[in-house]
Amino acid sequence: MRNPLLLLVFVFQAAVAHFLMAQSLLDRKETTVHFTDVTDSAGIAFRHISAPEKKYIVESIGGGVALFDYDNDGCMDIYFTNALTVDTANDPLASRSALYHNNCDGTFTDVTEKSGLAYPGWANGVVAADFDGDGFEDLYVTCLGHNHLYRNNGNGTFTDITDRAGVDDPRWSTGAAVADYDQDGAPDLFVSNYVDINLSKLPEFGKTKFCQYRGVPVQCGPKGLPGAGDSLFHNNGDGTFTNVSKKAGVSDPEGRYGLGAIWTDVDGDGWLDLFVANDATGNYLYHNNKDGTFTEIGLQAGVSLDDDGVPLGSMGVTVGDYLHTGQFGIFITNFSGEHATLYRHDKPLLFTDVSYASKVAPVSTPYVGWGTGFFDYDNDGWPDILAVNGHVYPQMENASVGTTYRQRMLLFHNERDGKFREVAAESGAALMTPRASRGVAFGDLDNDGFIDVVVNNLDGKPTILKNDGGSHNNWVTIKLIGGGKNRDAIGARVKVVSGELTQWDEVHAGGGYLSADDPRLHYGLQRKTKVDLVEVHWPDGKLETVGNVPANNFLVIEEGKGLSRAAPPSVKK
Amino acid sequence: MLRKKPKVSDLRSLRLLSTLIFCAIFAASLSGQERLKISHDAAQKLFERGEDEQASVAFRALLADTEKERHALSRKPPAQRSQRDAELLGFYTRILASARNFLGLIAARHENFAEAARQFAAVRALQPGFPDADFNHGLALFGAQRYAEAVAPLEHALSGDPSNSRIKKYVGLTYVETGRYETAARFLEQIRSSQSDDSRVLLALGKALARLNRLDESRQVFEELFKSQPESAESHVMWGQIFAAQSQSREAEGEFRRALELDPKVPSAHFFLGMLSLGTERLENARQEFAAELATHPADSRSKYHLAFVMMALQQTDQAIPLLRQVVAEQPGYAQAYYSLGKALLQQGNTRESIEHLETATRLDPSKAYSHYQLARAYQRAGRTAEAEKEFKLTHGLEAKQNSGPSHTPEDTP
Repeated sequence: MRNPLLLLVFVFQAAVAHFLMAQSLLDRKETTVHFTDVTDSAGIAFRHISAPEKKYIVESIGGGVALFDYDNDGCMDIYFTNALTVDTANDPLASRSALYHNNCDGTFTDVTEKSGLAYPGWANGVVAADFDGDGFEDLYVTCLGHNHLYRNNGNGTFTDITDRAGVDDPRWSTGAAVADYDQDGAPDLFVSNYVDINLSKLPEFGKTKFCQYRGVPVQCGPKGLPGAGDSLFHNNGDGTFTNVSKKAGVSDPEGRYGLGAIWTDVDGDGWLDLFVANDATGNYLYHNNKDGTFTEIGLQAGVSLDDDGVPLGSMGVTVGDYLHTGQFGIFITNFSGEHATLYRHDKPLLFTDVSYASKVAPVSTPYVGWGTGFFDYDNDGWPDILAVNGHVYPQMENASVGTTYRQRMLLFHNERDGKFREVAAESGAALMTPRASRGVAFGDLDNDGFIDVVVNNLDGKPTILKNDGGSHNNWVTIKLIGGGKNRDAIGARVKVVSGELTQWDEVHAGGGYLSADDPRLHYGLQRKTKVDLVEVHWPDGKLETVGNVPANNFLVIEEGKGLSRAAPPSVKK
Repeated sequence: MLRKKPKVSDLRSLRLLSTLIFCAIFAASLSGQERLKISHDAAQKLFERGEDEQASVAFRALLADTEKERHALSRKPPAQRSQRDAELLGFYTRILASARNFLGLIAARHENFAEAARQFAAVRALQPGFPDADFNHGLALFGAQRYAEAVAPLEHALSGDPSNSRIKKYVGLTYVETGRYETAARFLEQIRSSQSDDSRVLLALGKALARLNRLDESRQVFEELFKSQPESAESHVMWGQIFAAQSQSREAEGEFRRALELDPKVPSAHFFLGMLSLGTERLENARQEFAAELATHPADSRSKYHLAFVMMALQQTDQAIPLLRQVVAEQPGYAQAYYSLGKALLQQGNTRESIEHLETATRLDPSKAYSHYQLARAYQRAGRTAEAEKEFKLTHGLEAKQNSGPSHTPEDTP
């Protein structure tokens, strides 16, 4: 090359190109989050029990999980529910649920025996909440048979206070969700029930048309079996509850097959509404009338059925501000041959089924979906979705009918335009391992600012998925402490503003499928280094703001006192 | 100057013209009634000789003449009509019905079932007791894939001739197509031996039994069918359907592909491949298969409907709407097509027209909760709250009824 200037330009261009390519590779590498199965190294030895053949529907449904900090040490502990079988139904000691204490170093210790939470019976779901406002998280376990409310004694032990509290439901209970629906300051309890079943008169496997799937004899139900109604227990604030299901209008006299349930303020009027995912029947959306009663508006709101007016086999439910509009969409997991449904919230109390438009429908069709949640796994500020799957019929394993018994998970990345991209295959082999999964809970187990995942799998070991934080994005996590008896501030809505990024979330207790997430709210911040504004809409209607907080901190905001603590990640790896 | 060699069609026209001129001259010398009778018989002879084109022209000319005569007479006030007038009106009606019947038969002979159905419907309206009118109408609707509409005329025909196994066969086949599997199986079992030369009977019976979860019986029927059919593209299509009915998708796909290898234009192979893809949400594949079926069989309404259905799922609603408009024009009794068109238009924000089609869908088939639901949503969007509430209530009532069916079956979906 004769012209030295030209040579210089060429060299410069090559250097820029090289830099850009390297940067691009770096960016690509950095934005990839991987989940790793750390169940064994975490010391989790729990095994869920279920009859291998699952000849009866009662053997296919359970497997909840709760993340909660029972000892207030700042690290999320784990409770797994365990089930009995038809053969062991009369022996409550035949299966053991488990409480694992988080050692805050990546490992857990089984503290079940000491806790007194080992044998609730045929356990299905679980929700954690501080029902009595004493600062310690209590536990409610739903069962086939009698449910249990375990009061946290504050010393690592729990006491069964079900009868004293008046919150038993002897039916086949599944989902449980807690919220102060009447704004009297005390958290109330909703329990969904599934099928009205009599263990001594179980329908015979494969016998009738209700016991066939794609030509293969299978367990019977839920159709052909009577449904069981639901329960709402009003917290009297004195350690007792009153069953107000009928009076409140949420008793489900039609007997739909209730599973996942979540409280959420659908229309933003400050009063919590209730969504119940029903299997094989239309879902319920109960709108809060602000007088202790509810009006069921699922059909009118467009969330009872799918876009084609068909009731689906709904299992789990989650809500999230996936469009950054401040109006939460609803995502529901359904049966195979159907598809997961995503309802976009267009205007108050009016939704549109956008399952196909958002691209969550086609990929989810072969799967029977259960636990699910909106969570921002890569901290890019946009809620993504995880759904765990697994069929109810082991007979599908070799049936060649387009579905299988064990199934992988689905991880939907929010593409920020109303669409999702399914990215499980590129997010870690652990997500692609086929399992018969049920409940899933989301939370920051190691307090590193990235959300991990805990899954309870039917007849097998659970899966603890550690998020490697590969996106290196920033974040903020907020723990709210309410002023009255609702110390968990369940139902509070929190807006977080960072630059042009505005996100809303809500404090839930219960949701997904038979499970309860880390109650702290978590917001991804991309590369932003600070939060400009935190706006807390407390359940009692008060508004509180906190401004100018550095990213990558765990914040504690107490009602009426503002920011009481901001701490960086502290856990030992 | 070159003289053009006369074409065969020119010669035919010339022959037809001379026949018509002869008939006209001859007829002019007769009374109106005799004239029409002779024209009818001449047209019938053409039909019997298989000269359908000429027969069709002759019957249409006869229709025009007869209508003219009848119109003139019917303008007389009824009080002034004589006994003779009444007889004449009856005669004209019989001629009209017969001419339309022949036009229907000609259309059916050329597989123009939509036209045949139109003509036979007219026959039934003119003269309800016309021989075979109900059956012909039902059969034409069946041929046009308008199964829901075919049920009533076929059932009516059967009530007049309960032992007729041919009618029974089509009633049974129509029941399978309209999802009435229990009754279909009963009918088809009855005529299974007498109609054993028609493989459609065994195929439909096997499908019905499979849907009823009477799996062992279904398998037996299919095995019998396998044995009785020699290999051909058509038989592979049939075997594919058998596998599909037993949820053996992979085997079914293999059969349809084999059929296409033998004959790339074999009817329905691409359609069923599209259905298999649709069942597993391979939407792009399904779209390609339905389009391929339409490329070789452009009149196939099923493929047109399902192509539109897939396009809606692929968010190509703009392209789905014209297809659905074609389907409802071709199949005016196809409630599901009106439903889908209404839904597509609602998605596009055309609420007014959407309501129109959804109302038609609910009128044609009031038993479908999904149509009432979509109509309720459309009313809701139009601000017609009271009507929306009424439809939501209907949806709720129907949904509760449907809950008594088996869990999670494909029939639950539209």
